[in-house]
Amino acid sequence: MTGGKVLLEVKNLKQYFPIKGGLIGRTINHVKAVDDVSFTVHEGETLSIVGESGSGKTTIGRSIIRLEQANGGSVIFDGEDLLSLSNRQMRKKRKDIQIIFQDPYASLNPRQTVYQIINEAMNIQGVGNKSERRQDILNLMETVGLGAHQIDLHPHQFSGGQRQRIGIARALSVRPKLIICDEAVSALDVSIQAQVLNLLKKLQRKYMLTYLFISHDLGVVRHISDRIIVMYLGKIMEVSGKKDLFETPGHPYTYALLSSIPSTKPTGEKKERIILHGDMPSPITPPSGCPFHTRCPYAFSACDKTLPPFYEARENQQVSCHLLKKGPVDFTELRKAEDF
Amino acid sequence: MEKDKDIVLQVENLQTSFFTEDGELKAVNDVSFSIEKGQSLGIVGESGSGKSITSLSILRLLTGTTGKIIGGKILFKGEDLTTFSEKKMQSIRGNRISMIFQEPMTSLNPTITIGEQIAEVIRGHQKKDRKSAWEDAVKMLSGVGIPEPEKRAKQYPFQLSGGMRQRVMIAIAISCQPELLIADEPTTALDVTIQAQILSLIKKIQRRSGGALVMITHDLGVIAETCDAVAVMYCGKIVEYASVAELFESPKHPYTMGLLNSIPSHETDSEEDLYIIDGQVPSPYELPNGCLFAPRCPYAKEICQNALPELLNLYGNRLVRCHMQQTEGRELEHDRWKSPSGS
Amino acid sequence: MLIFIVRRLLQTIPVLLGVSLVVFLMIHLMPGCPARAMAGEAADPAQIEIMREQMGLNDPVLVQYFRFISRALTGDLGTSVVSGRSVVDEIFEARFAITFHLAILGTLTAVVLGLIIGIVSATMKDSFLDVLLMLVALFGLSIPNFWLAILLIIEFSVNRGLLPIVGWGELNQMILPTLTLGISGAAIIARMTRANLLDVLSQDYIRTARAKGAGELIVIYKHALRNALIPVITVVGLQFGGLLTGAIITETVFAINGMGRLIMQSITQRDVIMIQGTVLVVSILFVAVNAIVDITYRLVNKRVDLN
Repeated sequence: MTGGKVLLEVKNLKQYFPIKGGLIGRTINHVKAVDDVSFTVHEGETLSIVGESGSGKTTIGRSIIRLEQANGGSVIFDGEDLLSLSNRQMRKKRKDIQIIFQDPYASLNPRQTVYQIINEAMNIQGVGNKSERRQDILNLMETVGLGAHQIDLHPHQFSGGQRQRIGIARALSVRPKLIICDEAVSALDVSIQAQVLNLLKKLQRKYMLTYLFISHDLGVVRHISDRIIVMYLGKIMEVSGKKDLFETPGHPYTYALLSSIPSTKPTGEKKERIILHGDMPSPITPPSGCPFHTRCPYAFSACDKTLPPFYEARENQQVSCHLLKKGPVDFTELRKAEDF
Repeated sequence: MEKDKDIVLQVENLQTSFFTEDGELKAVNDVSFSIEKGQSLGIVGESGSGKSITSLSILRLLTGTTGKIIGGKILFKGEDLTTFSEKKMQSIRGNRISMIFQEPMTSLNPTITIGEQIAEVIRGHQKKDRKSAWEDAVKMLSGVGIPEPEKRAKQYPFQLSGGMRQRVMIAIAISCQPELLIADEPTTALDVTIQAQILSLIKKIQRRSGGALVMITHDLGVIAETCDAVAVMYCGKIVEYASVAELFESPKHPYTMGLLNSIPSHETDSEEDLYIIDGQVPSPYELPNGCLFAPRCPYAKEICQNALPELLNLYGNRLVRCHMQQTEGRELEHDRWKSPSGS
Repeated sequence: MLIFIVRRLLQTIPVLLGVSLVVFLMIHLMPGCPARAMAGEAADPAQIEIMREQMGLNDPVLVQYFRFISRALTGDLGTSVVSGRSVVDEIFEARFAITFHLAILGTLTAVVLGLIIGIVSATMKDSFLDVLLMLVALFGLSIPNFWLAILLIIEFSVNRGLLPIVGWGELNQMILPTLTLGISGAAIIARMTRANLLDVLSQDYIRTARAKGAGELIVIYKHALRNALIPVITVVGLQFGGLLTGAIITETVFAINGMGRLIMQSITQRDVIMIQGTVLVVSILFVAVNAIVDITYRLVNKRVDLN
């Protein structure tokens, strides 16, 4: 899967949100939502970004398609830096990059029919032949599992899962190369979530799509991704292939995150739990050094002083943690030895 | 029976309906279960299954909605709560039966200090003056793991994180040592690392107090983590009841099987598609005539379309509402789910 | 918080400057010349010219404006063209106290009536009483002040002879004007209290309060009302500010010598200096009350949302 052509390269992306205050409302501080983040997405793969609320994962997606104006860095898509395009050029680029949001209802115009919603997207990007438009839209609807008889219905006449399908059909209609799925299945019940996940996989195979999949649900992420980025307080903790991340997590935060998820395995191998203490610190005043050190059970003297560089834990697994200076760490063994 | 003494709550044929402009909505439709001292029962279901309405019905908290309990009994320590006066219910709520709600952000009063919100329950149900109720409140805060409880007690909800607020909710709920604690999606709005903290706190409290716990959630993982027994609800009815271990090991109802199979696991790799349950939950105004799950069920036969199956006791409190289990009494082949029928 | 207060107070400066400019320009835009009014109808052009010179009306407009401002800052708003009395003295020695008194009584009436009606209505939502009260409130809101005043006079003074028609000072003189002013305010407050209370009663924390075993009275008065009344504070404040600037119609109908009647009299008498001074004072009062309301709202509300 990896090793394909690089489709998207994010370099040193910074997204700060100003906090106004003081007498004349000047900027007194920043929320560093995304702080110096770099990664690449290869053609045809699914790269997921996971993290808890406040980690900055959603902001990354919004910065890439310039729903937010990034404060620094570059976003190279298909050889062009999106951040340096004019607004007009960027509008054209949006044909190649589509985004699907968590709440399909809020992102669909309630006064439009399915036909109008999809037609509008195609018109703006000038896709397809107008005379065959209706047929194209019917085909799209069939692809995403909506019936032809539903073409003139309005969003409120659909269920949540079906609305998400409309959102997917709209995104697909302009034949994008990259689709950013921002918590796209989070609001759905599990049985519907499974339907939409299967659909996304089917479409990826059919159209050679590339996904940047943003989610807090590690089960979903394990199911759909090839590679995964773990974020904490606006910084990347770990970038890893799927298998390595779940079987031999490289970063203590990843390990804690995985062990926090309630297991549905019936009996027997109940895993050893790590329960992190306290809350995530405020992104306005992030801790010095490694942002995770305030909650990390393994933190030592170096951790609050310098931000750890990325160490290669395994092939395809980069981890930002001082513990890895002398090579990868097996946390399960470490816990047995230390008995927390 | 000797054992009956330990039964804290016994719900019998509970029916709760909402009366809206579109007609009667049977949110809870003939639900029965019981729970013993020290036991934790999970009620799991998707949105619209009636699980939350069941919990609100137990405490008779449907005020301000069009919902009404229209049938059945709710026996709490042998007394039927549905016959209680409002005044008598008030002496039960927060005292002998408590509830933790889903949204920690909106479930606390924004203009009252946290300490007072706890002390208020203590004063309401126990004969304590302001000062000692406040002292108790501070103790409760430290008991649920809130650092600097004296300082925190004087703060307002907006000054606390989501996880902290849920701890406060728990402190409120357990401040009168209730015999029954109902937790309605207590961790749904929280991040996983915080969810782990809260679940372990709830378990610890239950172990210490020996009370009964009803855990209402859509998340089977939370059930596996915290419960002994579990009832699966679908469209207002219980479709399966089992011990947690049995439910996960050998689900008997096709809906439960489908549900378990459609959760993407973080513990196993799969390159295959997820198993899926076709279609969607029927509209509560147009429920099917026969088995409620029949329109989505890969095993459905003619009888399933026509007659509602009874909740059959397979063996020792292992209940399932399915014709296939009743007429043939055989194991449904689990692999019927392995052929996802497109989308 | 202190920063907010200072910022809010600083914001009033440009507003006040704007107000003073508008008030000042009124004189120049109004038909008729103040000098002619002062000199009297019979004055000949030469006398008027002398008058203009004395009043500084021949100087450039900008110079006149700065003179107006700098005098105003020292508390000198000129003297009445008609009575020759100092504007500041006229307002603060004779008129302001009456208007202030009337505004307080009117606001109190509005708050007491409005809260009672609003709370009763919300707690008995959709009952006959609720519908009736809201209908009454709608009437109170729609009925013009002068008409209400006249109706009250006809009923209580003319027909029954219970209360005097005009004047201010005796308790029985205060009842009708207070009612006239209070009723429309009460209607607004009642409707707002009802709407807010119903909104708050559907909040999650109200369900929590009930789940704690709180009785209905505690739920409403301790948990719901506090939160429901926060937006009402703003309305009450603004109404008070409005009344403070003089209830022109009510004061005129009941012949009460307050600020409102002063403005009315000055207008009919073409007393430009008096109009200018009174309108400026009234505007400053209004801006000040507004700022105080904003700050109070923020103080009460800071616990709800900091951002």
